[in-house]
Amino acid sequence: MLDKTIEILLVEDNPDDVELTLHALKRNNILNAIQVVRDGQEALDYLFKTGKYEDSTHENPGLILLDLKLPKVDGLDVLKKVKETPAMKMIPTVVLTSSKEERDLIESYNFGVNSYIRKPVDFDQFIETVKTIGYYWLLLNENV
Amino acid sequence: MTKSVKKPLSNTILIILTISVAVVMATVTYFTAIHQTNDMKRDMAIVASELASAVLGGIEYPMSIGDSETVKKQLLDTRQQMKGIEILICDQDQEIKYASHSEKLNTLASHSMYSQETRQALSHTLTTGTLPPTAFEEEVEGKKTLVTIFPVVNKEDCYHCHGSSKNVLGSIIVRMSTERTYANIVKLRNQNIFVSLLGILGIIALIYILLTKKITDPLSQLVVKIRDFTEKIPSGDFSMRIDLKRDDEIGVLVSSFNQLAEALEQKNNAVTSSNLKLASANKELEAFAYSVSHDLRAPLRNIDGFSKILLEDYTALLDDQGKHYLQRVRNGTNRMGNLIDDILYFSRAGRTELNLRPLDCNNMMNDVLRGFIEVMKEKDIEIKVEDLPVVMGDSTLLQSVFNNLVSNAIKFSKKNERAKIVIGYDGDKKAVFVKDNGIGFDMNYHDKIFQLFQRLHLPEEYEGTGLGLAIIKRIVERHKGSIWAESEPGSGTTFYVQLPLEK
Repeated sequence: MLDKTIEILLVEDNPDDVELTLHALKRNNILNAIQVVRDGQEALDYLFKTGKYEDSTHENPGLILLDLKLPKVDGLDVLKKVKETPAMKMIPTVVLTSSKEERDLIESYNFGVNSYIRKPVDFDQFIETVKTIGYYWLLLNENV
Repeated sequence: MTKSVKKPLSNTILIILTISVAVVMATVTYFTAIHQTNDMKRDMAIVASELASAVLGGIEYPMSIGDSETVKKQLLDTRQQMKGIEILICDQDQEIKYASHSEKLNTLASHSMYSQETRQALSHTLTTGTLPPTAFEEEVEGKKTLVTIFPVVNKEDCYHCHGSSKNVLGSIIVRMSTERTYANIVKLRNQNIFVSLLGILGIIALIYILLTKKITDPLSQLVVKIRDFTEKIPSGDFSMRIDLKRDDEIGVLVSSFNQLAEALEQKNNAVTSSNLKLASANKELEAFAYSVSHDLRAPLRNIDGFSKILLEDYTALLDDQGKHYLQRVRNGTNRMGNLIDDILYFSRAGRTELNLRPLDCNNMMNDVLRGFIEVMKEKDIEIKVEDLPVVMGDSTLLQSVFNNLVSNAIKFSKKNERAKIVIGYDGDKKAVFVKDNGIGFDMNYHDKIFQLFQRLHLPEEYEGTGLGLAIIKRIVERHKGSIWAESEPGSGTTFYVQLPLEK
């Protein structure tokens, strides 16, 4: 079964998308702990235990689902920071975004993204996509 | 490429100059020679006439006293004193009575005349006592002579011998050799020719030097500068001007050229600046497309997502009508999603750089058809692929062209007839074709189908965004190729794609 000890960090500014993603995870029986952060700065604060997460004692997440277009700090910058930090670069990071502009794709892979997935408009397809991501990173893939 | 001067202007000028001067010189020399000959003749006639008067004066007295021996002696003396001169004195019957050459004595004067003209003149003078208007030229034993005829008029002194009845007593004929004179004329003419030749050569040289200095040299400079200018054009350098200040036609040419260069430079600057503007507009467009792709899709996804949740999780609260409406909401969002994707693809197809390489259309078509295996099986479509050429193109873009054409051929197949698709290469039209036996269309709409958002069918009949053909037309045209269709309603459509073949 899925490894439920792995915590998922969802970086998403759009509340509707947050809700739909959570719905899709639940629909696929992915019941892992999910931490939602709403912009790039909050994502960095959570990961590096700065700002409002200064006193937090949480472990590093086991999977990051990252939107690219984010307020304050851009998703690509978050990705870059994560992949530059030795303690975090092992965390599987999946870009889950609306666009598949070539420059975003190239930049993401340059920074060392593990997957780049475009959110489909069709919700049925989106549920399938979330299922694939979850099963792959939480079940099939052997994490460090 | 700039040409070098194959036939210099100065050579042409030199040739024309030489020919025209030579013609003028020959004409002048010819007329001068004629003129000199005439002058000489006149001079000699005067000499002859003076000689005749002298002879007449000399013999008048001896004759008046009947001393004919003295007359004879005097004439014979003349022969010794003046070489090349023959003097004959004849009576009215033309019998020679006195002569410088004794062998002519008592012969007929007409026998010493060698042309009809002279003989007539002699008769005329003997009859009328008048002087002939000219001297006569005659050739004697191959030598040129001049004959002058003078009348001996009867006077009181002569009456005692000749009586007073006759008006004319005879004639004095003076023949002078003109050989030496002609030799002089020829010598003079040769001198003339030599001198004028020298002069003319001098003039030609002068004119040539002036012409080259004033015209061809500046022209050559101009040619070199214009060549430099045109060689710089490909690198976009229009800054060169020709610095040559002159008041003549060449000066006008130079200033016209400089104006032209100025105008070109301004135009070039304008083009450069509008290119920059275009580039920045293009950047903006790209940013716009980026935002569209991000921000327009997000709400659509949400609409679709929540509609789906409503349909699944709240199904008990909805009646059939409610479910139907929600399904329509979802259909709408899907269509919108496809539209956004196609618009973005259309915009990208016009912007992305082409990665051109030789592409075997056979392989490409196989890849494309692999994606349609399922649907072709399901719809029982007969497909035939003939041999296709190798073209130069961008594989990703061209693949989407063929993908679109095959997809259209399947989409517009007839419901009540087995669909048949033939893909091949038309050697005459030099184009790859995709032919179907589908519903076809009215050729009046030929141009319309390649325009953005143009559709010939209702959405519920055949789905689609109305962008597919506009996208592939854009791709084909970016490959410097062309696309067109031949169709007949009810009989099917053939799309032709002409692409640059691999060389």
